[in-house]
Amino acid sequence: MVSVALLAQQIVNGLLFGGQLALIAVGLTLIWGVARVLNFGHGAMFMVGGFVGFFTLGATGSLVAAVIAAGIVVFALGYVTEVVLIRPLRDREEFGIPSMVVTLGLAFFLENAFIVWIGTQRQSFPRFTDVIWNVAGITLSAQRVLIFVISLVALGLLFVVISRTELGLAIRAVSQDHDTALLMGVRPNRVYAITFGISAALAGLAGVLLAPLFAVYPSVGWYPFLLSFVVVMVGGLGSVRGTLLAAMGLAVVRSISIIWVSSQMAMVILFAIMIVVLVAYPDGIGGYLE
Amino acid sequence: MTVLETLRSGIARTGDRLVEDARSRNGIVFAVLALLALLAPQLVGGYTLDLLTQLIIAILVVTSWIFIAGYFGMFSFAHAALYGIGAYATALLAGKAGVHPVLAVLLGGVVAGIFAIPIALPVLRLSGAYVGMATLAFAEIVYRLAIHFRGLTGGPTGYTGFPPLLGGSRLALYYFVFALVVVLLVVQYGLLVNRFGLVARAIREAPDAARMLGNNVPRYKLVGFVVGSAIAGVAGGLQIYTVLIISPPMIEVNRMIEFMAMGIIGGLRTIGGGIFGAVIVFGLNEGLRDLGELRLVIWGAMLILVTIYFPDGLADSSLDPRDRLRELLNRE
Amino acid sequence: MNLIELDGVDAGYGENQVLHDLSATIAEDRVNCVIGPNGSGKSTMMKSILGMVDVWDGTITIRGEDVTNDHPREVLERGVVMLPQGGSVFPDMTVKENLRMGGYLIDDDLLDRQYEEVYDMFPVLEEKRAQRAGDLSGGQQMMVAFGRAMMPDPDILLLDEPSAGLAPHLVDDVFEQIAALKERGRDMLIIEQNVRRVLEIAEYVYVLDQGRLEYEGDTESLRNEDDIMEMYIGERHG
Repeated sequence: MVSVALLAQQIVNGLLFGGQLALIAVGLTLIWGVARVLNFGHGAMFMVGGFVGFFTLGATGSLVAAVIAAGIVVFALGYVTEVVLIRPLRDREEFGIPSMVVTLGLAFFLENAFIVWIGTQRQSFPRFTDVIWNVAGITLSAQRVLIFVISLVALGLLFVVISRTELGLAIRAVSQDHDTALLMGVRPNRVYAITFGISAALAGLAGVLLAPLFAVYPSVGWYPFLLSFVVVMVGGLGSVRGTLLAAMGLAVVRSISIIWVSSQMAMVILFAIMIVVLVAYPDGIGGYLE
Repeated sequence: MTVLETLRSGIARTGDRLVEDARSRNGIVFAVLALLALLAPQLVGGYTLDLLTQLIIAILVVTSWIFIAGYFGMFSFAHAALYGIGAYATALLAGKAGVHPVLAVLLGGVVAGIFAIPIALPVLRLSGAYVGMATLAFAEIVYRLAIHFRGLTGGPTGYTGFPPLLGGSRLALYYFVFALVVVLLVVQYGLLVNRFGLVARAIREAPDAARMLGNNVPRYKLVGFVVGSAIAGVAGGLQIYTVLIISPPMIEVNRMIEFMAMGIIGGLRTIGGGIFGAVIVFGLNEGLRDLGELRLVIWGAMLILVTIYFPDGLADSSLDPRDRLRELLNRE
Repeated sequence: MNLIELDGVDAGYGENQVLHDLSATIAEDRVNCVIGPNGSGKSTMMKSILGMVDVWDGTITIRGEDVTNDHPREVLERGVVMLPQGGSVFPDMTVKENLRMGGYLIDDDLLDRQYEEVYDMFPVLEEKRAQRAGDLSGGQQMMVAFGRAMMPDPDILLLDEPSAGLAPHLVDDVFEQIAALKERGRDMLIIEQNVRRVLEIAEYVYVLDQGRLEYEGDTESLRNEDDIMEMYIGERHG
């Protein structure tokens, strides 16, 4: 019999993890919603963010600098990826699959390039803080709470940019109707590249924030990618609201199932949920909510 | 028309097309390759022969993936997993149930075909990138279950307790693999040059039109997916007799990416593209083994470049630089 | 002064040439229309002005400035605005956001004045400004599209088959809008299938066939051209 305390603890852990997961997944859903690209390189962006943070921290000793550098470098990487790899495919009759393949190729390329350059060993990343709180019998690491809060702030900023700024207006216009946006004077190519940059930067930011938990190594991005992949499928590709809900829900499912089964089997459960949702509601729970 | 007549005319057509295709540029290349493959054991032995065996098996995996992804347009990520299911089934049938190894290989194909059904059914309802997503989830489930059920599969370290095929002779194994792969390639080719292949391409290019012409589109797709997966399962069985172990790395997503890269680099539109791509990527992997991961960097880059600049793959594009230049300029 | 000039324009998609050596001059201070059978290149002509289709040969100028193959943005900045077929409002944006998109390139202080201008023309849009455009009725969506096109206060408005695919009562609405715009002295270039209706409004007519200009002249003179009238408009004079 599972104690109520353990269950409560796992639910709290799940919610905290859900916030981090949302940060990774929202970039994936954003770039699909705007540019119809399923970015298999999203995990590689996460990985590059972790490394940029790691090196910046080593050089400057400042965590803030590490976070900022990761965001900027990975934004640039995403921007260039869109211009060089995705744009040449855009006029193709069939766009979804080639764009999936080139981003998969990019992920593979980057992962192995980092192995050649740095090796496969894990670089450990210092914790931001070691403080542990105890609230009503539930253990809370200040580290995880801090990461959760930063994730929420980043997501909130993204929301403000999308809903309140001129850039956000252009992004929404392009995602709803590319040709009409063009007629309004928007430059869709630039919007795609910037959106790809923002999406990548969110992954890069997550890469640094989660580095103390995941460590930093060339294939670190694959697992968060798979998790966020499940999240966006369940939440509905392109639906930010669905993605946030799915991130929280699935993270809680995962941390509760870990009470009984291995983390491998927890992933099996998540993937099975994803297939069922994909078949029952191809637009995800986000589409179902609308 | 009776079944027998249909079969006879299908075989006749396959023969005609084979003779026709053999005269093309690629046809001549493949004929020479096949001849070389037949003579290879006279020239090389030991480890090199094992590698050639593995290359021939890879060709079978890639062509059967092209069967599904190239002809029907169902871009499956589940192929390496189904190849792995065939491999596990063969190993367990031969090792634990005492089935004759040759029979175990064929049954491995059947088992893979059966396991393909639960993912093929959802795939029938999806299209484009969504097929990739669902099949990737399936592949990840298979990979994790293979690790989890260690009592059955040997878990992360794998399983080796099965007897060798044909008494363990490398030479005999090589010719057995060669013969079986040639037969299965001709079967796939035969299906694709006949009505089945025509409908498959119609489904890829215009599913609604294919439906309106009275074809049972879901049934064709289901049969295509299951047949292609069963062939991959046979390849999995052959592979374990070559490497003498079955373990989870054989079916992880990186293997899938490798098969995919072979298909895409060679070209998804023909069986020949798969042969071409398998030779290139496999050759690169083995030829540059000393470079370590750098070779993966190289074919990762190739995967990107081919997708952007040779959308139909290398086997079916003109490799004359002047043609390439013209095409690039026209696109601007 | 001539507002837009096409000079020997060849244009098309991929290998498929649609416009053949098309020359036309669109003068200021009048309402123009382009008519012609399906596939005659009317839409392509409009898109070539906007820079939305490749011009292979020839030049397009706006007030003497070459805009051939320029980004639509450059054309827009020269006061040429297009209202796409069917209106194409952004369904998931509010009415006000749609208008804001219309004024995407204009200054903020001008923006406020233009909102007023558009709300003055379509009072219902002010009322519904916070609603999702996709939730409005078809007629109100057409108003959003017209209002959005008026936001940059264009020198000339290009209308791409404004009545295509609309229910009959909406067709009346649309032609009322066009007449109202003419009343306010707005220059327009209208592509229409509904020739009878558009000729009631247009002052100058271009007839296109197979990507070539077959006739141009003011509406009154056109009515005396029996051959043209019979061939393209299906009417015999008198």
